[in-house]
Amino acid sequence: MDQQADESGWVAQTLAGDQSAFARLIERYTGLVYNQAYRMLHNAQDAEDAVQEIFVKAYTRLASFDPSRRFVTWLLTIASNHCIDRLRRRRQPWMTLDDVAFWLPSSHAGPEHLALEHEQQALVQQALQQLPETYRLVMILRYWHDLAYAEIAEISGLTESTIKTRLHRGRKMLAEILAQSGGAVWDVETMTK
Amino acid sequence: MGRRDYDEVASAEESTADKAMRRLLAEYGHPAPLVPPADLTARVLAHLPDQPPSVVAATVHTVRRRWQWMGSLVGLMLVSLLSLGIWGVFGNSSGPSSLVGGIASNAGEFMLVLVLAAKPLMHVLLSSGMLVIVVGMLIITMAAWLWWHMLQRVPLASPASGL
Repeated sequence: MDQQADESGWVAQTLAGDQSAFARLIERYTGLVYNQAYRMLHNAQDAEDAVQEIFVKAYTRLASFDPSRRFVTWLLTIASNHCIDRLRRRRQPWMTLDDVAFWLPSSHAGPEHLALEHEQQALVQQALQQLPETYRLVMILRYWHDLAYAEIAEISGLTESTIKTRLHRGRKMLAEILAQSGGAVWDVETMTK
Repeated sequence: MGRRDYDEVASAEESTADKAMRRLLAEYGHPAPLVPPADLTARVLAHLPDQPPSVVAATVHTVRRRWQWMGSLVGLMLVSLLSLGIWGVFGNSSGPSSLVGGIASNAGEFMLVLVLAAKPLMHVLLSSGMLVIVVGMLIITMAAWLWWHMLQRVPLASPASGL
């Protein structure tokens, strides 16, 4: 049985009242949703809270899932909308305490430090936060989740041509920010070094 | 999760830029998966409602409908009060009180007191205070516009700003 059939079966079982079937979906996708939330929100606690809320939303709306679609695409749609809502609810457009804490030595290291312990990786994560949220979303879906344009369009509710435009601008912005931060200088027009 | 390139019609430039972006990210060690906290899955599971999804969805729907009804009811009450106030202040002063048993009843007397208290205030505002109302409305509108643009519509970070 392939992955999509597995997942459709688990969804059907959950809808029939078997919560353990939904537990399998949670086990499979907690990491993916956490990565999406952390890349978007740049705050470990927010990302953990978001993961819980996203799965509760998915559970509540499970009847609206179309089994002909991939479950992961449907779940990432909920996750993306949730993260953007959360970002918009953050009223301060200026630096938050969490942003400041990123630059300070801390005894409570975030997952970026715990899991990666690599300064350059953290630089990219910081650079991502400089992108407007709609650009950040498509960049994450493309380069971190490795999704096709059609899937990104489905998740974000945008057209494929808009996705391509946002990716083009997102790439330029990210390359410029990384170059300003002392990284390799890339020709952002052609995206070559 | 595999990228399904077969359904994409990417131009040569897009394809080159796409590959170059991946090379650039690779130089920085990305995409690197983050490991979620070990207990996160258990916490998510513990956070799930006990009832099946259909029951939860029905409950959410009922609560939402209830809030909509309450909102409509409050709105209707406000409109009714406003209408009664306008009727009392600009029309018949004892009109609203006549709806609740006339001025002989406590409720009617209360209504009449409210109308009589509001009447001079409204007349002052509408005669000499019109400018105050206009300026006040203008300030409120400007403040709301500023609030919307500064706090709601500004991107969280300016793309032009560096690290």
